[in-house]
Amino acid sequence: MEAIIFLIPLALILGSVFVALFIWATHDHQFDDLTTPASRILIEDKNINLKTEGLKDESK
Amino acid sequence: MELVQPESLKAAVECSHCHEKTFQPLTKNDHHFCCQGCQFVYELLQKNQLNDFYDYIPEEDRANSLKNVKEKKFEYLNLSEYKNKWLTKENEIEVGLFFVEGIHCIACLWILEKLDQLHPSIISSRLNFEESTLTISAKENSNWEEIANLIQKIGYPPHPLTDESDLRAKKQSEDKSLLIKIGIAAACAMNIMLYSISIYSGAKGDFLLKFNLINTFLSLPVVFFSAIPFYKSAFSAIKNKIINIDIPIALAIILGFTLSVFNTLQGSDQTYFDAIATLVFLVLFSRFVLKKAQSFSQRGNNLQSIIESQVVGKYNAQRDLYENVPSSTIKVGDIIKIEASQSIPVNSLLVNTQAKFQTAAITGEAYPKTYYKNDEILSGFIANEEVTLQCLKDREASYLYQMFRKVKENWSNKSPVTQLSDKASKYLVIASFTLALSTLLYFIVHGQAMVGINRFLAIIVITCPCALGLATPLMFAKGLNIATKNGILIKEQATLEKLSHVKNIFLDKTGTLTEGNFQVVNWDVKGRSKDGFSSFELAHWLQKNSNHPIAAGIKNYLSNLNLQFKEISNEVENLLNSSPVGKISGSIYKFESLPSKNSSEHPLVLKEDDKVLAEIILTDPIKKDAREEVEFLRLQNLNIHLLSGDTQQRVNDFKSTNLFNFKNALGDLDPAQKALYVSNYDETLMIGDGVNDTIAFSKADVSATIHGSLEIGLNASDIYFSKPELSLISKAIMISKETMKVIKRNLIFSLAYNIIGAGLAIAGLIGPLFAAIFMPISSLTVTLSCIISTKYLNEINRKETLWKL
Repeated sequence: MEAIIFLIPLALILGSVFVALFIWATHDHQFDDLTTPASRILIEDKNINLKTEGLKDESK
Repeated sequence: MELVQPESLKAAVECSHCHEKTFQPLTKNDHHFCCQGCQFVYELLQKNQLNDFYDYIPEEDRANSLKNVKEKKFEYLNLSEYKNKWLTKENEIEVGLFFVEGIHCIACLWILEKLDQLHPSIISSRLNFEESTLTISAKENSNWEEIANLIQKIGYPPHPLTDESDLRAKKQSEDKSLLIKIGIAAACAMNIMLYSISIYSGAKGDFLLKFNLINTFLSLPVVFFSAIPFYKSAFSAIKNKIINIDIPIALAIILGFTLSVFNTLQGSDQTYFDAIATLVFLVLFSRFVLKKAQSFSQRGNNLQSIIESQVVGKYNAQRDLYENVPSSTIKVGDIIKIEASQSIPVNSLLVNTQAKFQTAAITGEAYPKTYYKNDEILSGFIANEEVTLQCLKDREASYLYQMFRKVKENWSNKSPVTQLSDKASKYLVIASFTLALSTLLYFIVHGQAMVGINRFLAIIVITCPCALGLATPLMFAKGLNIATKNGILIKEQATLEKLSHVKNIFLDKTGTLTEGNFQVVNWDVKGRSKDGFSSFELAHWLQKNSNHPIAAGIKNYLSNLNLQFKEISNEVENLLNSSPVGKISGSIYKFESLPSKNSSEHPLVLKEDDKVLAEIILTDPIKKDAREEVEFLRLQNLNIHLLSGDTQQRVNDFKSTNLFNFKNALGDLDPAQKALYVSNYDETLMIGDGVNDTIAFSKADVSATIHGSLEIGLNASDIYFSKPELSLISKAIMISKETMKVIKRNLIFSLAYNIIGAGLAIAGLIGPLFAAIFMPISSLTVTLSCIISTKYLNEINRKETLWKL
């Protein structure tokens, strides 16, 4: 039962860390717009490939 | 530039940009374009290697979404007074916010966030899909007119959002603080549960006291932070002597917490920390869900500023010229110039010696009325020709502004069913209070105060009509949201409810059943006028100020010819619903319709007195889904009527060649006759193109515009269909019927729930903790019922989401 003396404060501290992280994320605007970033990630940018692969595509 | 003279009916080709069929293409490097707008965008994208755009856009949407129809002017964006009001500046970067029309798929996102590659001064552009807002950061002193024109040309008419930055910031910080309150309540509730379980399973003595103390400590943020909204709302309700559901909730929290702390110090196990924290978390959560669903009303605010963003020419005495400014900036005494077929923004005096106005929207008169110098012109009149006015009143005092205000208020206007359920929940609160108090008194009298308090808390919490409060607004919000996603903009909740009762549908012909997009397929020149004017010049002169769809077709044809037109004279008479007549030195010039061989062709002749100068054939094809849609609506036991300003002969032809099954098909109607006809029926829906149907709209229970501009559409009617598809009519009706079905289900459930819950709590079968869990669960059930809604709603909701790839 002595373990409880460590476990309870530990549980409370861990809990408050996650609450703090949640508050930070909210202030960081991470929950402001949930739709647009979700679709933004689906776009593959072919132009970036063009630049990195140089003249390969143009010679075709 | 050589004149392109089509000899006969050419085969239609597809536009490389919008894939629309066109008879008179502009051709360059093997690519065909239907108009200069499309050509501009196509070449712009090619030049900047952005033609991947076409891979992202769904084929079936291409013609609708890429067709460039609007031309708004944005000169005023560069005026310093407007810039100061609109732009926010940060470290030499200007940030502008636009509401953009026509956002619908991933291609829109792709192209709008690549604007920095298309304009040198744009640093970045970010789109918010949910709100259809585009935030653009640009270098200092950028040419914002050019930027707005660029966005417009690509096919997303932008509307600068002003006056709202404070409001938006406020709403965002409110959202944030609510989210944090929910998070904290959830975390505390979960931890409290752990120690409560120990207490329930029989912790005694020292452990009991310590666990209770930990719970007290964990409840502090819930009671003194997360629950603040309840206290605030309950306090303001009491101050205003009204009853709301936050009063019992606040009371339960305060009473429960005080009692628990007291019992903790007494060493008793009668504590309610778990119940309080769960209650706060679940109620806050269900409100958050409601708020998110209603973020639609944020769009309502956006629409408001679109309606107000009309551009007028204001006379600048110092520079002796008219500069285009938004109508919101004009003041009493300003001299303004209004273009033909634009509406008058503020009540003003006429400066011209004489001018004609369409007053249908305000007075209900069918024909344009002539006004003379110094007559008062009311806001909301539509100018028939270009006029100069002196402003007489402030915008706030003008008729049109008051109408806009009404639109804004209406957005949150409660529909009959919402008002009913609001009333019911008020009486429920009173009833549950009386019930709880009498139970408490009963047990105190019998000497069992603890049991009494226990049941008092349980009754108050479980009968709290949270679910009832959610049942209607949540589903209305969802219904309106689904409608918007499908391209149906509905002005207010009440419209959605009324729409479910509609029995008679009245349709306009041109622009509603047909494309309303007249194209010249043949222009046969027969000769010049006696003054030497060509038929093109005469046509340009006659149709210049007309807003009829045929005129638009002729003007479009003429502009593609790239000719320079001289001013001829000002003697053109513009009649609503008939073609203009002009006079030059005694001769009368006009267009006349000829009978046609098939119903989609409109042959016209241009005449000088009796001499034919040109024979012109225009086509206005019937919408692809027109027949199917009319048949579908008829099978739903709806009566479909066709009301047209066209001749009865053409209406009959139209009906028989396309095999329509109308209850009535009437032609030769002027706007007033249409209105009279509509007013003879009950439960009516009038659908038209918004310009000359305004009076009929006012006589119908529900009105809708299916063609034309957003501004006019939202002003004149209750519903605006943003795509020219007829299937939106049945979609709108279905959405409304299904929405009402779910609302009924919700109301029955939450009422039944409250009555059963109250019975169980009085009998002592349910304690405060269970009450605290069940009460919000009932709200969540209603929420869930809205999310599940019906099969039909889910299907069309899913169909219209982003994942169209």
